Amino acid sequence: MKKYLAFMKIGWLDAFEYRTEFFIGYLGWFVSLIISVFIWRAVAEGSGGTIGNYNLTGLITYLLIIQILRTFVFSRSGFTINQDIQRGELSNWLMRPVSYLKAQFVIELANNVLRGLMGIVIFGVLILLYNPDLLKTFTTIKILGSIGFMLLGHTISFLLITVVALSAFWVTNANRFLFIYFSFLTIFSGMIIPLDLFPARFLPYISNSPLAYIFYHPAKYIQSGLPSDALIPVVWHGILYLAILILVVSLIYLRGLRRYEAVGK
Amino acid sequence: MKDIAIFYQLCVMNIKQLLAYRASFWITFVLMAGWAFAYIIFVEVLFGHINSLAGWSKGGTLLVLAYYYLFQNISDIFYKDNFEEFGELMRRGELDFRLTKPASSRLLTFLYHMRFDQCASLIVTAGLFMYAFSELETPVSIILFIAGMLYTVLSVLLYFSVLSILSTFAFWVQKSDTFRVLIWNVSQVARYPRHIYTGILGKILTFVIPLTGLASIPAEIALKMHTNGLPLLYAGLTVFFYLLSLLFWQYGLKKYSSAG
Repeated sequence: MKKYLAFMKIGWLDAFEYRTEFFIGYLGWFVSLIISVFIWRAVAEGSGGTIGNYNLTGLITYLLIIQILRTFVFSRSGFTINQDIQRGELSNWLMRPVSYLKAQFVIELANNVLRGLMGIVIFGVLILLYNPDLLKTFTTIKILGSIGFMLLGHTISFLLITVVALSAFWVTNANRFLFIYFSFLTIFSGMIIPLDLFPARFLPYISNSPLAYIFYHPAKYIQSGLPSDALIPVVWHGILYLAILILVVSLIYLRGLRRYEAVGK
Repeated sequence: MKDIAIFYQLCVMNIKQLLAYRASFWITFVLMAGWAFAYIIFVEVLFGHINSLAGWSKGGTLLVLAYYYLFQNISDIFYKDNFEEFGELMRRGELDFRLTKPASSRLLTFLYHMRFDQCASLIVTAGLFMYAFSELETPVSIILFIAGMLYTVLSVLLYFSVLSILSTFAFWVQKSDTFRVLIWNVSQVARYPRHIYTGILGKILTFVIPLTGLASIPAEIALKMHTNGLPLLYAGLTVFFYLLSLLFWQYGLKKYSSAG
């Protein structure tokens, strides 16, 4: 445990070290947010004010929550894992008495906690200004539940991208596969569109996919809470996905290690 | 003339590279199909709730998306990777080798690596154009469609200039990998009809950082929409931004201290 805490510290230091990168990243997210606000405002105007179950305030609040979630749940570890396998840097990790994937997870978690805190400060203020009523709905239980959903979302996000990145054991460079994964993540995770705006016949499939646990379910919980009869199946499904993904990642990693070769490391 | 000859040689060199890695072509095809599919679904879901987006029909919005991918595909083929890797090029000190060669430094920096495997994306974009045409209520005249295509060349040049300005900041911000994210996010502005961007911010995105018209104006030309002389203004802005990016590049070079 102590060694993983040391890796967490590295993650924090890394985030502090590259502050400019950090802020340029936020600038990019702001641009993305602005585009989304313009689109949804035009959509609201075109639909007479309401879109599905949302009014414009509800939609923009959802988008602001997504921005906070992006800072915390979004996983970039796939690029690091792909690069370590491709360049043979994984060899250095294999010599250490730590689990490579667990170390990657805690490093990114620490990094994302810092990003997430900044996200809460920046986008939380915007939510406060735009929809102050939302903050009144926060109780201790809802705050703990939100943190739980965010951790679940981050872990599923990390595991999914890791599954894709581990293909580097077979194809050498999995970068393009990661971008293919991002295309599905963008549309089916609720990142740019709330999934309950999809046609009703597709909704059960889309909202129950593991991708929905990265943005959609955490955002919906933070925005409107969920009654316990709806919450329990959602949480159980999430935990089930988590267990399956841990198993799949472990199996792929072990099989990949058998194929792994590195020269000069 | 000398620059054209160098550009031609760079093209030949990069085509040979494609022939060595043919699988890249098909992986690119799948990647582009994934993104096009994602945004077609997005447009479909939006138009499940509305009939018109800021005055644009579903077919028109898809046409903007198709022109957006067209200029993105061309930029992906010729220069996008170079901008994304510019920070790394500087960090490793490899920029010095390009600067000391007897050719335009910007040409050798931003048009060095070409990705002809990205031509696969053009197949997907062609499919997207056909889908957009099938969704339009009135057919597009071939001449206007070609005029829109030609205008895309200007969009490619304007986009190049904006990316050049953004990347030149890397002379001051040493670790510029995050520019990738910024570049990607900024280019998203062009994905949707420019009429959705209203108010002061809309004006800034249209005239100060003129990206909203990159795909929208070619689509408006193809659809023969009333453009109020905006294509001409954008042509002028393209020249202005190209010159500005060139001057900024030269200024940035003066600030550059070698890493090698």
